Formats: sequence, C-alpha cells, structure tokens
Amino acid sequence: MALITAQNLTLSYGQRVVVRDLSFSLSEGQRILVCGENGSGKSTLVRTLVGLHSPSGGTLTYGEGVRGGIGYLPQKTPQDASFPATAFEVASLGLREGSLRGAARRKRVTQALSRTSAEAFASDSFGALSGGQRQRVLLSRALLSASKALILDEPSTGLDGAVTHELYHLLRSLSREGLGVLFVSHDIAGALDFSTHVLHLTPQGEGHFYTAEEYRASAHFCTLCREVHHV
Amino acid sequence: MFELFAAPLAYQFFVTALVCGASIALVAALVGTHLTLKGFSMLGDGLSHVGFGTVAVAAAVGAAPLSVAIPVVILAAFLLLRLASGGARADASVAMLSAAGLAVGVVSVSLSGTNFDLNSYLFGSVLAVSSAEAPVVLFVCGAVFLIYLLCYPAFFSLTFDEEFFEAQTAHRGFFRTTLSALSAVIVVVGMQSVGALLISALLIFAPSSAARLTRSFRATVILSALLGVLSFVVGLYLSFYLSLPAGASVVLVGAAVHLVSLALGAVKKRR
Repeated sequence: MALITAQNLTLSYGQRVVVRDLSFSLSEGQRILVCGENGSGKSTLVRTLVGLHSPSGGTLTYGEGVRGGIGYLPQKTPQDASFPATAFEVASLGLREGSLRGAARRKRVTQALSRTSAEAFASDSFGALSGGQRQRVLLSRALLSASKALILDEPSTGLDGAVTHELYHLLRSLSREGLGVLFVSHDIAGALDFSTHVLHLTPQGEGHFYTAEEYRASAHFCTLCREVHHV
Repeated sequence: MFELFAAPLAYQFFVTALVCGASIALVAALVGTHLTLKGFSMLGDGLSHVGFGTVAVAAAVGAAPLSVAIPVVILAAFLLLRLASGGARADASVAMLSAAGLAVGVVSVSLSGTNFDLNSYLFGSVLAVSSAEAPVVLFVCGAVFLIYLLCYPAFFSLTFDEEFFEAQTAHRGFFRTTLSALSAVIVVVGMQSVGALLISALLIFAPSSAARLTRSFRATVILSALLGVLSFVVGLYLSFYLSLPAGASVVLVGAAVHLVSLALGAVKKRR
C-alpha cells in the first residue's frame, strides 16, 4: 500500500527550483535511499515530506493515518551541550502528546532506546554524549513516532562502521514489520545493500527513481561513486 | 530565627506582597526556563519596555493601564518571538523595539502632563499591591500555572527541537503563541511588583541557575521554580529589614543565587 505518493513535485526556494517534476511513491516495506550530489535537494525533499517545506508545484498524497505516523530524524543535531535534558527525556519526545503515561510510557521509551543500542546511556545528559550516541538517541525518538513511515536525513552521521551496519539492519527489520523507510545517505556503497529502491537527485533538479538493482547498473551510480570516492 | 520570619507577617501589606510576588516569581521561573533555554532571554526585557510604553500611553489618554497593556504586550511577544527566531539581526530588532517602547512611555508621560507614577512602573512597588489587586494577580498566576502544566510536554519539545516538533504536530503555531502570551501576561503583571526594568530578571536568573545544576529538563524546571520563589521570599525579607527597595532586593538575591550556581556548576564539571 502506498504511504506517500509524490506526483510532478516541484520544490523551490524563492525563484530557484531545486527539484522539478519528481514522481515516486513510498510503500509499506520499502526502503528508499535518497542520494545525489550536494545541493541536489535531498534535505529539501525530506523536509517537504514531513511538512516543513511547501512544494511549489505538483501533489503530495498521504495514505490514511500516515501524516501523523511519520518518524523524522533531522539532519542537524538540535541544541548545544549545555541543554539540560537526559537521553531518556529526549527520546520520549517522540511519543505523541498524551499517548502513554507512567510505567507504559517508560517501557516504550526504553524499548526504543534498546533498539538503537542507546539504553546504556539513557540517564546521561544528552549534551554530554558523543555525536554517534546522540544520533542513536534521536533515532529512538524518531522510532517512537513512526507508526507508518520513517524519514531520516543522514542517519549514519557520526556513527562508526559497526554501528552504521547495525543501523541498516534495524532499518531492514523495521521495514519488514511494515514501515516505509526513506533515508538520505552519502554512504552509497554501504546503504545500497540495505535499500529496495533508490531516488537519485541531480543538481539540475531531476529525480530518477530506480530499484536497487537497476541503480547499480545505471550511469548515475557510477558517476556518484566516482565523486564520493574521488576516483 | 522564627521571630525574624514571623514578625513581618503581622503586616497585611507584607503578606499580600509575599503571596502575590511569590506567585509571579513561580510562573516567571517556569515560563522563563523555556525562554532562556531557547535563547530568548531578551524577550522579557523587550516586552517589559513595550509594556511600560503601553501603560504610559494608556495613562496619558485616561484608559485602564492593564487592560490596554495585556493585549498589546501579547501582540509584541508574538512579534518578538518571530523576530528572535530569525538570527542575529533579529536580536537588534528586539533591542530597538525595547528602546522604542521605553521612549514612547517617557514621551507620553511628558506630553500628557498627567501625574502618572513613572517610578512605580519602572522600579515596581510590590509592597503597594492592594488587597483589591491581589485576587486578580493570584487568578492570573493560577491560570498561567494551569496552562503551563497542560502545555508542558509540548513546550519541552518546542524548546528542545522546534524543527522536530513542527514535523510532529500541526499545532506548533498554537503552542508558540501560547508561550508568547504567557510570557506577556507575566511581564505585565510582574511590572507592578518588580518594575519594567527588573521583571526580565525573574524570567532569567532562576532558570539560568537551575540549568547549571541539573542534568534533566524536568529537574531544571522544578529547581528553577524553587529558586525563583526562594529568591523572591529572601529578597522581600531583606528589603523589609534593611529598608531596601523590594524589586531590586529580589533581583540582587537572584543574582547572588546565580553566582553560587556558577561556582557549584564549575565544581560539578571538575568531578
């Protein structure tokens, strides 16, 4: 079932068109890797899908109950080190207002933290955590609000190789549970193995939607890999 | 010791000031926690100056000061919060609006020739809060407190990560406006107790001190409320026994508490 459908979507900042006439859909169980060069509109697309940016053209359709069931991981880590909040408190912000209370609430948040291997530092100050640890806590927050879809902007930022691998496994198991996952990554080679589809954006504003296999054989994959790995 | 504490309570004006002032300090510390941690510390200062200007204009034209000031300051809070989200130049806008508000007030009083008590609004007079005014102050503080409790989870999310909050809820504008309105109401009501020039201290000192001493957000909010009330009570007693201006005494106690929190925070960091 299609969770989010984009038809002829155009995204702009003022007069500057970033993405033009993009059509694709995110369905249950899919894992879409969004890639492209810097400035090709990856983060703008993500921000549009979660309602932070309005499209300048085309349509965006959400399935029933999807709009309120999207878990989101922003690209930028919020707040500085001095903000007084524990990792547990930050993760719990993913729960919808008033959805759970007391012991049930604690259990849900702890479960989300353990899925991202962040349970061990749940009571630590969020600001005192390393970049990778913070990212795992923010991922837990996204998981708590994701009942239908998970949209992640650079989820592997700050994570080392082993934890990134764990993250991809987690995304795969979440999609098998029925979530639609769309994520931006620069780690094309690593992320592609765990993706079912690829949305490649070009600096010219074009969007190309492939299956993972089609993408491996495409000219876009070769070009991007050369650029990322400076070959 | 008990005698020192109990003696001023024999005076009705002192009891009224204590109850009203502590209530204002409590809600100011709660709402101020969000403003301070969001980097909007100057909001209270800007609002108080706008509030002063509005009260002075209202007095000059013969209107009831608070009934004019509350809606105008709520509007100003909304505008300032929007400006303050815009970056460095927005900070200058807040400062300019703040200075302009003060200037409008002074000029209005000068031109009207009314016997508007400039000093009582600039420097406050919590000991002069009358028995008739006290129920209004307590009702307003009670309402702010209840609204705050109801909105606490949303305010926390808004304060920590506005982008995530906006993605998660369609009501970001509502909660942002509510936070602005609560700040505005506290500033207008608090202007009478500690004055336009000092009210921002009630919004900033206790939250800034608490944030240095705690690890969790919830603990910060609770400690901020306790420090805010404690600073007010100690300041009021000091002003009573040392014949000092009440508003300034409260602010100085808040500043002293903050210095202690800086020292304790530094010790905590070394460990």
